[in-house]
Amino acid sequence: MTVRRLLVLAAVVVVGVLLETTVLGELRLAGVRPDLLVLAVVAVAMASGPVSGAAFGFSAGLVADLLFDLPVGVSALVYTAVGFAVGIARVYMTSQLPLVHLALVGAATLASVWCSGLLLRVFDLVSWETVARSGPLVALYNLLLAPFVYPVVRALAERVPAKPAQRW
Amino acid sequence: MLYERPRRARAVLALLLAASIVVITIDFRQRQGGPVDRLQRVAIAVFGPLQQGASAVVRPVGNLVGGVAEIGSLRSENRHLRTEVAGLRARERTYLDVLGENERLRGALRMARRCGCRTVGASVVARSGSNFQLSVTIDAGARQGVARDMAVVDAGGLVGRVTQVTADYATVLLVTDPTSGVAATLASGKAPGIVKGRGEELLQFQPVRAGTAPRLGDSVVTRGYQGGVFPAGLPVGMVERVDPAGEASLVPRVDVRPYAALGTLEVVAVVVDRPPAPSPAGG
Repeated sequence: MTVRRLLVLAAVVVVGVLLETTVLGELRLAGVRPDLLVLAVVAVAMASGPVSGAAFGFSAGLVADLLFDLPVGVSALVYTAVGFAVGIARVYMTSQLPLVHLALVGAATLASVWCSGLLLRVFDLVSWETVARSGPLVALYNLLLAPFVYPVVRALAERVPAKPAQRW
Repeated sequence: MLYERPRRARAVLALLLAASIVVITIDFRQRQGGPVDRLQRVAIAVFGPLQQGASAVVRPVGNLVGGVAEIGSLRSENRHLRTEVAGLRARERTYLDVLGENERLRGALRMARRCGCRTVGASVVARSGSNFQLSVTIDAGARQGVARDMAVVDAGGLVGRVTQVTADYATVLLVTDPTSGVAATLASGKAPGIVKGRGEELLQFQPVRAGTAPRLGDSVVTRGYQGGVFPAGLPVGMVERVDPAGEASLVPRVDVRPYAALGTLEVVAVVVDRPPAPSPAGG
């Protein structure tokens, strides 16, 4: 992990959190806002694999948790799992079709929102109804933003590889 | 390296998952004053100014888009005139913005003064980015006298409760959040109950006593009590719907529309000091 990579990925988290709390906070559709951070986690995991995905997910989730007044660690837990799972799945995702990547983003968002909801439900902080409803809505909203966010973050993560490229 | 060794990957995963669970546990055991709580305050203190900056940029951008398009079409015109027009427009916009803000701030202050409370004005710098929680960050903190559990109002009525405070910023849990519960009563008669958030636009009023029959249009206000968080008599909302099926039951389901403009919050007032004793006569 180079310093440059650390800075770039940290910048992605900071910009994502700022967008979520300012612009997107104002643009709630049907009561939900998109989850930019999970988009970023999927992008980084697709670019750099399960370990980077999990580590990035953990950091992004922790920052988000600290800023939002939910039990701290819930997003960290969920994003870690999402990052790892996507990192594993990328080996099987050989297609460059945008549709395949969109489907991945949608599925990852749905899983992430539902898992967070489930955890919060355990703490009795949300109703089943909210959890069930939020999943598909956030996933849809994320799909709308994916064409703008996903390629950018992915390209960024690929530009600053974890280890210098090996020459053969 | 393109393919990380699976064993290392699994170890990292286990470590991070365990770390998350430890953090959740610590946070849940020690909500206030614990290490996670301190970290949280650091995070809010760091992101507060950034969010404030971002909000300041975002808000006028919408207004400016129209102006910029117009300026573009005047490219052939005298450049001096163009900049002057743009400058004047910007100034006018700022003026109107300030005027509006002033109006809203006055409203919020008037509201709080009605209950004889001392208040601190604040702007909303960020909304919660989480889909499961309704809160806002405001630009007033401990240095301005804000503390945890204080009531927050806008020109219309009760907005929420302060849950986290740093030197210059504070987080406010909105009344609409599912975890929010406020002791309240009907303004028309003595019908104590609790106003609960449901994560949506409307609140739910749960009367404590059986047989209470709230009517449409009744006002719901906060109920002050010894050691309570909220001053008495802050308007919360208006009864919008009484579940017809619930009327027969012991505890009717009552929907309350909050008076506060929670969807478009910009300026709020934090009640830093409530009147010495909640008088039964009310004010």
